[in-house]
Amino acid sequence: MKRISAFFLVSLSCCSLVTGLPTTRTQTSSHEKPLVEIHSYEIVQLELKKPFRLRDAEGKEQSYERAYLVTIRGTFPHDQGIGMELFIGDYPVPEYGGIKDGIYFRIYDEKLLNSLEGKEFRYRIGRAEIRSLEKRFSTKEARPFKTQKE
Amino acid sequence: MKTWVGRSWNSLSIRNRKATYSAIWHCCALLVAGIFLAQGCDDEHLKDPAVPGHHTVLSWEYQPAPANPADPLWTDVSAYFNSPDGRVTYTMDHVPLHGIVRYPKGHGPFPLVLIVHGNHDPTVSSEQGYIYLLDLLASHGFISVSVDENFLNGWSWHEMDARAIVLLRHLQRWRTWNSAPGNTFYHKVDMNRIGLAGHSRGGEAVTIAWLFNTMLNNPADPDHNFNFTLKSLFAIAPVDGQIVTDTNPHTGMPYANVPAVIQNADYFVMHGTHDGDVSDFEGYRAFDRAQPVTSPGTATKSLLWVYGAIHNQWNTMWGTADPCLVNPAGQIISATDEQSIGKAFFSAYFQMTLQHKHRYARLFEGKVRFPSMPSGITLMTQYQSEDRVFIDNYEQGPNLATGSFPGVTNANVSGLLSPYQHYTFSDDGPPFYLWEQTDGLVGGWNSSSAEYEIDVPPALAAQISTHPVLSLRVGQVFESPAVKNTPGVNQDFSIVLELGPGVVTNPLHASAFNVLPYPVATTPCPWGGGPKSVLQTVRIPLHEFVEHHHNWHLHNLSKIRLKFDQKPSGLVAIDDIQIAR
Repeated sequence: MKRISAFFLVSLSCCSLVTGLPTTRTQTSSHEKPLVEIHSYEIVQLELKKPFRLRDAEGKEQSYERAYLVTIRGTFPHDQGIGMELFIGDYPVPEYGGIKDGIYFRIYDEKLLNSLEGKEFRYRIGRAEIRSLEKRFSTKEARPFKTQKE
Repeated sequence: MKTWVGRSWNSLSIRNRKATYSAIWHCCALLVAGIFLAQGCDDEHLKDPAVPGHHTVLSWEYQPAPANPADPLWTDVSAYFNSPDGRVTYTMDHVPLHGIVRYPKGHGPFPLVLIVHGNHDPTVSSEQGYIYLLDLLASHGFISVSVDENFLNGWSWHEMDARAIVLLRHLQRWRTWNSAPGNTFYHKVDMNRIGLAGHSRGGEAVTIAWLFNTMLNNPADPDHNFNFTLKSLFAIAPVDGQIVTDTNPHTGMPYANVPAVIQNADYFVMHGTHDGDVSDFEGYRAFDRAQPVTSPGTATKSLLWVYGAIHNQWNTMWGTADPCLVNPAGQIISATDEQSIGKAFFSAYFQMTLQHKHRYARLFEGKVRFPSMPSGITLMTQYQSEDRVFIDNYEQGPNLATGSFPGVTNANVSGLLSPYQHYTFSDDGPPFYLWEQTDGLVGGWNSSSAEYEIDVPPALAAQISTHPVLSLRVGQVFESPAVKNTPGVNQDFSIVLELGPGVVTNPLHASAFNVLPYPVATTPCPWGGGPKSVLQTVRIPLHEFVEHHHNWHLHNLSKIRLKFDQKPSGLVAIDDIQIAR
């Protein structure tokens, strides 16, 4: 991606984007939106309709009646084949889905939630290198968590 | 014997002699016809696969009854993915098995082919975008189905396993219908001839379905009772590796054996130079992994690289623009042209792999072009037959002197190849823009005396009778700036054989068997991409080296020489030198 970025910078002026997808953060043009950007995020506690069973990393099945729902508003590539991996620190968000102006995901394990405190949001698209989103994950402002029903 | 024949012949009456003449004549005619058919006839007798076949095509569509939650066409994928896009109206524990079907009139049994779309706006009926392929395939005697996985679409991540599971759940329904007396499809489906096709994320999903078909198979679990006979996989501009960091809900750990390494099933991938979504040609890596060099060949793999093709135009519902416009935009081909190419390859591939019409390999070898295919569009192809013996695949380490077959040695004659480099073909930019997942040789020259010489042991030569084609993957390397290659100009070199002491064949030119065009200088998308040095398979029937020389014998083969004497300079990447069927 280092190589691609350099090439991209050189060729940016002749590479027009047709669907309004914004350009990467590495480019210098200030009037274009970055490819990926977090504007804000919120965390609520979600009461699940039915317990959700999930195996933890040791293979033990756990049952969760609540989850932490993280909703991120911002700019993300969407509805594309190529994928965007999202990380908090080194933790890869296992799966996420979209909302109108962003993405959401769930964290079921409270210990995991706590371990992510202060870690940086990062992302990777396709084969590119992992990049910082220049925002850190924190639950401090969200506590006590609002509760929401699934 | 001669005496007996002569005596017997003399003892025959005139009438019997006439009858015998007639019988001999018919036998000869049958023999000639048999040879003609066995050799695959001439290319002009190969039917254009994009022209509809003779079967009458019928339509059907299946989906669950909304008011019946017990309908077996509802399924639960929530263990695999449970974060649907906000625009999706289903919960993941209750998603529909919905398919559009085109099938031939008649009793069958017919092979079954499922095609699945990739990621897109979930409110768009992406499954409708391949009806043009379904119609064509059904007319050639296939039950063809386009699978709706729109409920997994949108701003989604790590739903790849769910995409694969849904495909397998569709196959479960087909197995049930095929064994249910009274069902329209009772005994009409050949469940031993199943093909899967997928576009974009669907392109990786078919390889993961192939993997899960055995890996997650559990006969005791109705939701995971798979074990289908998946013979043939067709990937259209696929992604690759999205499964890698996904979690297996059965173990809580990342999936094992991913990304998939396809074996025992034919694999094909096609991709466009101007793909403005999967702009890093991810399927090239799946192609490289398929039919690994460490395993005996059991199936084919093939590849099509279409100059000017984009991502979305393979699907008629996805419009004519990609998320990113790849320049030079003037080279982008029309949707009609792109789909015409897709039709020819889609139809030929499944006829070749599921209906045993092996002559269509000619298309994948780059040897034929059909009238339905637009002219003037550069198509690069790679093809490896199921039966091959590697001479040099460069996977044994960096020592270029040692070949892959025991006893094979290689030499850079007089040191005139420069670079002469064992190289991992994975760079996605300079120096060589190769984008692959394999090792090979990069060679350059500024002298027409440059030569790559392969010494061949008798044990390899002895296999030529059953592997009569010399095959290699070779392509021009993109250079920025161009130094050794000339943009816009095809590359060429010659090949000669030594057949024992003192017997050197006349040279054959690579260009007589496939063109080696210069790569397109495409611009990258914000997430990656750019120029790609894609290789092309050059397949040379070995008998062409010895034509008109009755005393030259291929079983005396002792050396293969690639002589870079056709252009004053050049830079090429080479891999998978082999003899093959």
